[in-house]
Amino acid sequence: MLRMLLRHFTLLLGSAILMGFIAVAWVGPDQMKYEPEKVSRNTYEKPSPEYRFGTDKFGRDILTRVVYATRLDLRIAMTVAVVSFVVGSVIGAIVGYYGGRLDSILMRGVDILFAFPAFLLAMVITGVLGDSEKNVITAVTIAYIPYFVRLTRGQMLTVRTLQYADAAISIGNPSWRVILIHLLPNTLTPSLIQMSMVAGWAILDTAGLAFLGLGITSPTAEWGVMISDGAQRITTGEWWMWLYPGAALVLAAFAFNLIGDGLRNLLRLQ
Amino acid sequence: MTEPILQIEHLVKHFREGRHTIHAVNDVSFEVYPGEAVALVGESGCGKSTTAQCIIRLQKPTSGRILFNGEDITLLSARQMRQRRRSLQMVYQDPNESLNPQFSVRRTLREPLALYGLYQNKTQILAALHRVNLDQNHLGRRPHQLSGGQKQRVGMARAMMTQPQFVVLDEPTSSLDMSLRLQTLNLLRELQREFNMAYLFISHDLSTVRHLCDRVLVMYLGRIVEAGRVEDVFNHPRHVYTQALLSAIPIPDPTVHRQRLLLAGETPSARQLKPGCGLQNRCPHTTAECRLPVPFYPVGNGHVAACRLAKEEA
Repeated sequence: MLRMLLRHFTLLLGSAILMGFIAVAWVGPDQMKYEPEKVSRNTYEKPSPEYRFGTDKFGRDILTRVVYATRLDLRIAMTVAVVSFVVGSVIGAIVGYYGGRLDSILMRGVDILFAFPAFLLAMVITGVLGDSEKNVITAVTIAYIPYFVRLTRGQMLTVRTLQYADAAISIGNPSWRVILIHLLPNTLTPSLIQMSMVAGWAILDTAGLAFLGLGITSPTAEWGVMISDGAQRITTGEWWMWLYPGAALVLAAFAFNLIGDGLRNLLRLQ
Repeated sequence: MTEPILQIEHLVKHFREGRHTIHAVNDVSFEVYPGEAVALVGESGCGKSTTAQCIIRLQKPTSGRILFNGEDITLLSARQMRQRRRSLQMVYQDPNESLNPQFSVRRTLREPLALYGLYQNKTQILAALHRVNLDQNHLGRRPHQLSGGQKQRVGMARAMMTQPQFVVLDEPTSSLDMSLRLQTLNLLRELQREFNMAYLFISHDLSTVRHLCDRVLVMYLGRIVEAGRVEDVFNHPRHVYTQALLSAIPIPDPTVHRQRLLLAGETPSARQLKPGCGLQNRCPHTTAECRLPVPFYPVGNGHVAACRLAKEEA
């Protein structure tokens, strides 16, 4: 039992941190005494019993904003991870199964998308689509779909040659059932690991875009927006403005990566 | 005479491999009648599995016709073909690979019924399990929780779910050990009797063929070289290839000594196929005649052989 705990320490630690974040996102906003975007006269307050994480230049409570931002950022990251996983896996499964010209054309498209860093791609797409939560999700999702397409396609190339693929056909399954019901579920293990990683990257990307003034913008409570505000004060001593949202961001990304690593170990053992 | 359930007419299957063409199946014709067990034997790579894959349309034939109940299934659309699959099933070679690892036994066996709207309740699945000597304890198991023999029996039960008229068995016993092999063959015989199914039994193991089948087709280099009733072919093989094949069966009796007929050289590549007998140059009886296309010579009782020597006998 203890050995199990130690062996899967990364997975457990990552999950524990993520659970904490989810709990904060779920019930946190209702426990706050301030509004995230409500300005007050108490600007640049140091952390105190009244304002536990201090206040920013408009006198907004940092703790309240960090908690509200948790809800927003987790929502974006998980939506991105799930949607890019589902869309990418289905596309990858179909092109991997049929192969041929469709496969060649689509995979060259994927190669082109891969030539750009995901963040740069997301930046361009957000720039084109405009600033809103939905557009950030769309942009970052598009940037990560190729990862899942490539991964699932590669798995599919192996799985489709196995006898149970033939068996599924000869029993009388239509092609869509062969692909989606029989083969796709047998290709998902690496994609699950990738999904956790992508959730972590998506949080960093969302915050990164916001930091640059793209996607989620001020005055919305979002980690990247808050770090951007804090960064302007980094030389003047208001450390609480960037430290708390920054720590939350790093910890959240860290948790997703720990889970990804842990899953990799867990699934490799099986 | 009853109508054959399956008629293969001049089946040809070539594969492109870069600049080469692999002649996997070259002009194969045969029939299978209802309730009959026909063996297709030959060495690895002789085209017997390709023939099977063409019959259940996992491969598209290069040319030739495959008539199932008198209907050419090579011309059917995918949708029409799916309807025919209910009565045309296959048991696969490798039990470790032929079951979906994510599916429980229950789900594996329910699927063929559900696809044709035949599934009513669990008793159908239990009945199928009992037929292959498994019971309800196996219902919830995944393939990795079953032994090799159990997996193969699940694969057989799956093929029999829709009570097909015709089942292709692609070396179903080759990955099983001896004790399981006999058990599996007996089971196949019982199932055949119960449902009056026709089998095409693909194998390179001649002793199992003798145990299970009525007729045998010997295949070499993509062609059928000899065909006939199992007793006739096994007791009086006419084609030199069949003779060589049969002399390789070990006899479990150390006092019996037998001259083994060894063929010179290797099986030629299926890339450049010469006309005439596939055994030319390897066979000690090769003459100029063997380099021309060889017809089938009947030697009585439906037994035919594509060999010059059979002509003289006939």
